[in-house]
Amino acid sequence: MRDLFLIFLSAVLVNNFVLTYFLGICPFLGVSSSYEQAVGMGLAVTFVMSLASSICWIFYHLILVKFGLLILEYVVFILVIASLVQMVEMFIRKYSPSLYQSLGIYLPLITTNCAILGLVLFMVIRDYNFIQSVVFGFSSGLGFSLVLVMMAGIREELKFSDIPQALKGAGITLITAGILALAFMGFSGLISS
Amino acid sequence: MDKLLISLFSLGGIAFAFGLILSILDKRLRVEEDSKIEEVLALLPGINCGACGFKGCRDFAQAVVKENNIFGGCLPGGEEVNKRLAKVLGIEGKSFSSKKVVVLCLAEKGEKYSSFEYRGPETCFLANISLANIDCRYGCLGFGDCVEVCPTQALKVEKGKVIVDYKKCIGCGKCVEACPRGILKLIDKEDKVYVGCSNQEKAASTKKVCSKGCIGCGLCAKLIKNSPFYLEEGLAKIDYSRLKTTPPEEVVKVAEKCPVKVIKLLQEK
Repeated sequence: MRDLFLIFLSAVLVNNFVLTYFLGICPFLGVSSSYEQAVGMGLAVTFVMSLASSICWIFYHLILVKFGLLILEYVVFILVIASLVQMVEMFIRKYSPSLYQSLGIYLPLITTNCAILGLVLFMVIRDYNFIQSVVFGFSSGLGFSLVLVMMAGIREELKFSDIPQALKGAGITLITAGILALAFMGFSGLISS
Repeated sequence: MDKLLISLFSLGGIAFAFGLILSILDKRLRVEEDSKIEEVLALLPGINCGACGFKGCRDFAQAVVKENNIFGGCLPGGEEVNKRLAKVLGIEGKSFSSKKVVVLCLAEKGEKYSSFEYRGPETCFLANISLANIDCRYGCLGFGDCVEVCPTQALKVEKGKVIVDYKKCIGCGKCVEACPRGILKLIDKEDKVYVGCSNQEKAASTKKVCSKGCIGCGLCAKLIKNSPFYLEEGLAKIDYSRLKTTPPEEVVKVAEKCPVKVIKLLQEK
């Protein structure tokens, strides 16, 4: 139980995918301009991450390891992730057309979101068991959503502040991201070993 | 050889399983799109310029089919495309009352008095929620929030006053949403007159804040029979539905007689 909690804490705060590993920066900067979009994107990524980690674990251990096909690791993982994203896209398009519209190209781009591939590869490298993988996937998604929503909140506030002309738009966004990452470094001593 | 077969079958199997699930889901979750949207989309030039006021050609096509109206029409496509659009929608021959925007404040910088100097952020939105840079609570602030949102660059601010280029205005109404004071208004393209003031206060208070404001004398309402002009809270307004039946020379007469010249005639087409 303790190790599960540590995995959870580590994925959400200490080793946050976006702000510590700098994975998944594309949607982090792309869809963080409004709060609702960020929540939608966060939920979609969390869903894909949780499912991807569990399904990839099953395929990895029951097929790849068993038959000695580790060379196919990446292909299988990408296959799983792409199919899951396609599924999520169908669901969102059916049940929330407005969210589908506002996420636009970033929704299919979850496929190539390096945070998700990174998640599955970390899972393999760290040799997690099934339950651990599921918790890892879910909490990583949660960490991603947390950062995305935080960023969206800050960016919404930024619209009302007097930003120097040269820093408007991308400039101030990147600076904000950097400061957020610095802030998250404060968590780094939270878990020893 | 063995390994090759195993990898072939396992990978193929996984891919097949996912393909199967996805194709079933596709049947279940398919979103039916109006076939008209594709038809309209095929007519449009597809350059996503946004001059129609929508996000792109697809967005425009969806709105066109949904509302059964071509709004301002497709600018780059020109008349030819718009005619064909109307044909697809089955509203051929109907007149589209396309719109244009008018600015209900004619005062220039020196004419709008201000009792203090404003040094805040230079946007209308922020100036409006603070004390604002002019004393008139209704007038144009002149920072040009409307200019920024205009997709066709039809607006510009000159001497603290917004000027519309009617050759470029497509009547999308984005500026109307952007104006925090609601000074911009959409009227029909054929209409040639508007009241260039929004101040609803009495003549004495209006005169204190602006030399151009409507004083609410009511001359426009009395001067001609069945006048489309009327007074509401000390401000002249126009009933555009009645304006259509009023002879143009009478309207010109009223505009000339207005003591503060806030009834503005538009010369352009």
